[in-house]
Amino acid sequence: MKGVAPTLQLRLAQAILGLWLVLGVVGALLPNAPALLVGLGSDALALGAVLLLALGVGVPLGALAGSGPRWIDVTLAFTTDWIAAVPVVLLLAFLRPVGVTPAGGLVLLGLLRSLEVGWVVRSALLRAAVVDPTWAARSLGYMPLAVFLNQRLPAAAGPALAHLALTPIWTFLLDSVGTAAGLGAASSSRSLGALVAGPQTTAGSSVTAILAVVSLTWALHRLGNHYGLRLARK
Amino acid sequence: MTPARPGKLTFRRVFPRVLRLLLTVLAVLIAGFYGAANGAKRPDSGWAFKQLPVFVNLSPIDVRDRALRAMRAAAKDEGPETVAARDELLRLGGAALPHVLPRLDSLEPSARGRVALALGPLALRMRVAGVDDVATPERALLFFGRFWQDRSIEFRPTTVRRAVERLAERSLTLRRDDVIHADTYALEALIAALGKVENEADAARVARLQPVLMHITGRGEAFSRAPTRQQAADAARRWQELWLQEGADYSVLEGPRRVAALVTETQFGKWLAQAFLWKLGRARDGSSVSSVVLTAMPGSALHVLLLQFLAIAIAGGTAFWDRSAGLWERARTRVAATSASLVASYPMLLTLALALELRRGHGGVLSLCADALHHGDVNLMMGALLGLTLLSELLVTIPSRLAAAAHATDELDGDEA
Repeated sequence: MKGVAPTLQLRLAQAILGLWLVLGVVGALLPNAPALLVGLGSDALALGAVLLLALGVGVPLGALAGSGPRWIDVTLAFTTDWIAAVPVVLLLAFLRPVGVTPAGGLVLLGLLRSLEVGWVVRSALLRAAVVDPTWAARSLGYMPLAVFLNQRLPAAAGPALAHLALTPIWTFLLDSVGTAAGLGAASSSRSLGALVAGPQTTAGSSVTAILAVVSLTWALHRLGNHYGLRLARK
Repeated sequence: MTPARPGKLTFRRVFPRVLRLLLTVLAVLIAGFYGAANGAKRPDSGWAFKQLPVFVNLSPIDVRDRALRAMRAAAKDEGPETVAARDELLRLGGAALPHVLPRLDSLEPSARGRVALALGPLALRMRVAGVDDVATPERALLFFGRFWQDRSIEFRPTTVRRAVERLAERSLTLRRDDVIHADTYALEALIAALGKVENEADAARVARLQPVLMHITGRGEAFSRAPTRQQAADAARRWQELWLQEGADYSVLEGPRRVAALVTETQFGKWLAQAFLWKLGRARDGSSVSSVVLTAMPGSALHVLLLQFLAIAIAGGTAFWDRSAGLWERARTRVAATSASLVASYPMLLTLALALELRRGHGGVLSLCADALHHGDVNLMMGALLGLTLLSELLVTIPSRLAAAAHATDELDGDEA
């Protein structure tokens, strides 16, 4: 029983992700699709862009800050301090004129997420460095890259993936709060967050949208646990 | 040198923190102002400086540029442009004369007459000519030629400043006329002479200067009787605001002043001046920004603390699910990890707090900020943003640094043991 439950959970997570992708593509391609489907399509696109950027920029940035030159760490710390002073919704509203196209807006969103992920990776790497038992060996010429790849990076993978898995809720909240505050949705005015906070919402569509976002977050968390950590352990 | 004990506040530890705070505030202000200035482009925003560049003004315009442009336009034959130029010359007033009158000779005779005629109403306002003196182009030209020969020496900053100081001390007809003769050329000295209104003597000084300022600018309201201190302070503030908005139209930007104008003659420069002079200035509805923000801050702090507590409580609560180690150890690890990631997630926490404020309808500093940005209220937006930065520093950055220092102390104690 103990072995069956994780497998079942994994299958369910795969099914949820697959369903999201299929419905998202349908919503994006169908000309007169219902608002909920359009929202799924818009969110799937935004999530893809944000997750790609967060993985592609945030993880290397955090890795460099946690184990590379000190100036990168200091710069990241300063940027995090700076961003911590402003809610993301407002920051996006301030900077929106810079990225005026929808693609520019998504890049901006992805870069902001990258900074957060970078900070989480950097903190996890520093925590791993505290318990690193190989420092004496490294002082005798042991290869630091091997230590980094085999010990520290796997230790940072867990917190980073957990943080990344929260991205659907992150974008949903930004879209809904931005719309409710009159500042405009963060990713798109057709997103699920905007749909829930907008005037045309119904109780049914709101509940479905929230369920869809929560289930995707859970699925990403589960898949991250399974594939991400397995990859990190290799 | 023995290093200071971890957790102890030393200059070497505090200085970088303060420096980082200043840099953070600067970065927040610049990014925030960029957004606020874009929001203020809407027609009903009430932001008086939207025609200026946002951060850098590479070609600031002063009274000389305006006066010469208006002179050239007024020299042309009749047309809508000429009418606007005449109005502009009248608005610029005495401050334009040192730039226009010496250059009259460079124009052809008929154009010279047209410009002199356009300056006629100004001579009447300055009480230096009768209606007949400036009734025709020829007479006006003759009058202004003589006027500049006789009185150009009075259009010096020191002369005008002295005349204004005399008027500020005691209001006599002759002293008033001395200042009125200089017209808008004396505006800078008049505004400076208003100073701070702190006692009855200051109020009396404002009362002496007010009629002259009204005569020169054609704006403002007369005091019905001797003004109270508050009335005088309000009047002085209105004149100072006018100078902040239009000061460059009546003064020459050269030397260091021109270099400074690269920043001061911008939207950001004007906001900074307002923020320093009048404690963050006034919101669009006329309320004081600093008091509005200070009133809203405790509510937001409460929301943020509530959410932080909730996040940590949930993290601690999840320890009941996992049974890999002792309950206390599991709870401690989870709470520590959540506290650490709260620093990275703080912008999201603020977004949640904003959602809470919107939901409850309580005007916290976050909803204030969002509302001001939505309506293009620059002063309120920037004030709320400063409050928010302070809140973030107090609730997240400083506690996280203190926690890190305490952690270092614990480790040191452990080593010593």
